[in-house]
Amino acid sequence: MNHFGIFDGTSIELQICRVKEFSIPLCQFCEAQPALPGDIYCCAGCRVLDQNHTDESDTRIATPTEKSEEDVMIYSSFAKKIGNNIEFKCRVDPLACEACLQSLAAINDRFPALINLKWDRERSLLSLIFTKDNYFPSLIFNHLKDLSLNPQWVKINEDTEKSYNSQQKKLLRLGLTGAFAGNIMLFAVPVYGGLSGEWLRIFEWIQFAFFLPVFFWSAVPFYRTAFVSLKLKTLNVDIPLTFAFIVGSIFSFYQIFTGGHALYFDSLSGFFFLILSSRYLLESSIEKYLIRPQFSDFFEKSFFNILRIDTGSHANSSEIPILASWQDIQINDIIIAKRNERLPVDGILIDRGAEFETAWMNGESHPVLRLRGSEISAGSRLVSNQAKIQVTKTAKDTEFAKLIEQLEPSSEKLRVTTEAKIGTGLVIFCFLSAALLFIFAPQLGATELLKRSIAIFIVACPCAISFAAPLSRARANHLARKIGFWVRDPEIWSRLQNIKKIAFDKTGTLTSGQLKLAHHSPLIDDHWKKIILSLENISQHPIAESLRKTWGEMSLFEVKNAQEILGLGVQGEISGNNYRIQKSTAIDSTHISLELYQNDEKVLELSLTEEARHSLTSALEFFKKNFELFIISGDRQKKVQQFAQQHNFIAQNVFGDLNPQKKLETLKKIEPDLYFGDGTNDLLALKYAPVSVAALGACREAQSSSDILMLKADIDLVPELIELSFEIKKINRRNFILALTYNLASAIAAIMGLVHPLVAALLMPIASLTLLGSTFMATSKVREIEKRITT
Amino acid sequence: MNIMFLLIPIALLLAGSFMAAFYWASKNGQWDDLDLPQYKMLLDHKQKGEKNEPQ
Repeated sequence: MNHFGIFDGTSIELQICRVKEFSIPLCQFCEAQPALPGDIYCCAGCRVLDQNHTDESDTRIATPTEKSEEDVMIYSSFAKKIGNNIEFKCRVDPLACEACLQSLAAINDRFPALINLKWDRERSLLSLIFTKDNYFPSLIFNHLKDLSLNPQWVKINEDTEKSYNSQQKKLLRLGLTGAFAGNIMLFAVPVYGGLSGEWLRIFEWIQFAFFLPVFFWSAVPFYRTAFVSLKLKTLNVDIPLTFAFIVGSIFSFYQIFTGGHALYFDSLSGFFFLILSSRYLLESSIEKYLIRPQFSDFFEKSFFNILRIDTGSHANSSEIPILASWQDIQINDIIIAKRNERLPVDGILIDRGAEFETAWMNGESHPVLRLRGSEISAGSRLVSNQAKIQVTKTAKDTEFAKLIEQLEPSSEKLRVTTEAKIGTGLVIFCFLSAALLFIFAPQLGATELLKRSIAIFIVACPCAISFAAPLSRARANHLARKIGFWVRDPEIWSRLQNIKKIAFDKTGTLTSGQLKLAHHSPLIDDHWKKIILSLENISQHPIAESLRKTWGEMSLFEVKNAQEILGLGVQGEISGNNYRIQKSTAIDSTHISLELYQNDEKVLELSLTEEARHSLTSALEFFKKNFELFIISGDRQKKVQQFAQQHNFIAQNVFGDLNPQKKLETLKKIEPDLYFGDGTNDLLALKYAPVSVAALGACREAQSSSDILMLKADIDLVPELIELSFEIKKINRRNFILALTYNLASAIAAIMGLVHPLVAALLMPIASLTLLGSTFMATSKVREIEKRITT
Repeated sequence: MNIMFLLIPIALLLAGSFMAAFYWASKNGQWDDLDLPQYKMLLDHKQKGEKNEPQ
């Protein structure tokens, strides 16, 4: 049992139900750890690579002689010219293992038309470079799709370039500031060693020369943040930091120009390097590849096949097939949707019937049958083979587009961090001390008073606090990643300590989103399983997928006249017998029942139900002891209530039949501190909740709207994350106490004239090292978690 | 101490060259992709434009 409490004295005891065991079987292909317990592969990429691995997979793909229409369309929307070359950028799912990296590297070798392929790990962006006359982006795109990397074209615009340039600048700033600080220190050592005369002046001027770029270039982002914060009248740690830095620098400039030797170039530049490093580390430890979803991100394909009615000058109208992007689809166009395509527009089904998944509305991944004339809303995904839909509303006017619009970042008030408060407090303290010194000890003389005041600013500068806090968060992010969570917002660590209410979506969050066999009659032996799987082999319906997953792979019978019956099931002939699998007519809200007929005689009944998420029971045991729990689901009320009853949720805390907007309204009434979701219908809720978690398998858009991504299926890992947040708070508190004690003691010594500028310059790095040590030492619990994960 | 007249410029030159090298590398995208090149060099990579020879 692990125990942890709350800081403010009103401690509660949270009990972690079980200590995680990390002895999960490794990936069959690359030997990495699988995310899903019981899975034989660590990622979808490994599954594809293992199943399709043949000698042919290493052969080169010849460059096509002609560009396809799609290539031209992709070029017109996504290309960027670089000299004689063309660059396309494409976002892919983060690569989970070495095998996927290798398969990505091999693309460059397999496609001679591709000049270069670069992968930006941080943003999970692939850069494809072709010559300007010889580009085949669709070829690579389809290959990435085959590798299950879920590619999406990205428009190379100011935003993408800005994000890339800012990352590049940060690294450059960090590297060069490190070099400047290192050289300043190198030339400061002889000064501390007692250098005198002409050489002392030369060494000091060299330090000054190295310090100039730090003052005029490295520190610019700090000046900017401080200025913006002052303008917005909000506290930010960069305000006191900038102030102390400027005061120390101007004093040192004054000293060097007037022949004085009280210089702080080494301390100031060293600090800036430490602060830049800790912020860079923190940024590297958080997920950055997911960006706020745009409307276009919801569609796997950038272009849709449509029939446009051309009335032209002729009396007879004709339908012209064209390829159009979602913005160009007009009212009355007929969109020819293919299997798995999501619709960008509202329309009316003009085919006989088709099955659609409407998870964006209700979170339900199981398709519903729609007949000719039915209204189909944008965001629905076609599950059947092909369907024609006549457009009634263009993309921007649909409810789906309005939902996405609401994900625009709101002008939230900037949160004031503890380090900002302490930092500002320290600067005010320095000011007051200096003022008091000038008022009560004028007999010391102007030069001495100035020296002491500057010494106060230098020793009480909040630099140590401002780099220790991001460092501890970076460490927590790193540990969380190992436990199974990818943190997207480092500020969540303080919010995780205040959790009282937790709300869950049901389908895909509390359940795995997969169907499992609940019962069957009579007993199904391998023969019947083989018949069912052989018949279902032609279907990509979720039921067929679930059966394949439940029973695994086996050799199949040859099926003659195999046919999928829309909305009903599958049929075919095996060894002279006619078989049919169809949904049962008996309606049960919690189960999906199937019947197998042999020559029109019912021989078997199967019942499938949603599978609860792995380790849900033990996780709920922990949650119920410590928090108030809610279910907020888009699924049918009866189904949700039944699930809640099975898992002992309080009936009045369970809400069903909610569309995304109603979900948000319910959430606003309940005010949960933590929300778990996975689907498009959870986007608004995930954005609204103080801390939002995207369950494993959540859609990319849900991941983009969450603060934390689950990298493993086990929901009972969440207590460990909460425990970690309390440990981080302990480390931060210890650092703050250490820094404050040091700052106050040194400031008092400086007021009394006991701190010579040289000593002050030496004391600062000592304080930093102490805090660095304290952060790396962490707490015994953090070390214990670390040890457990690594073993 | 005359040796200092030689050592200091050498130290500054060294520092300057390393910084210039770092600046060049950073501006030319040398840190853009630190993952794929290690695998690419292990592949049987042909020069672009090189024709497949008959086996």
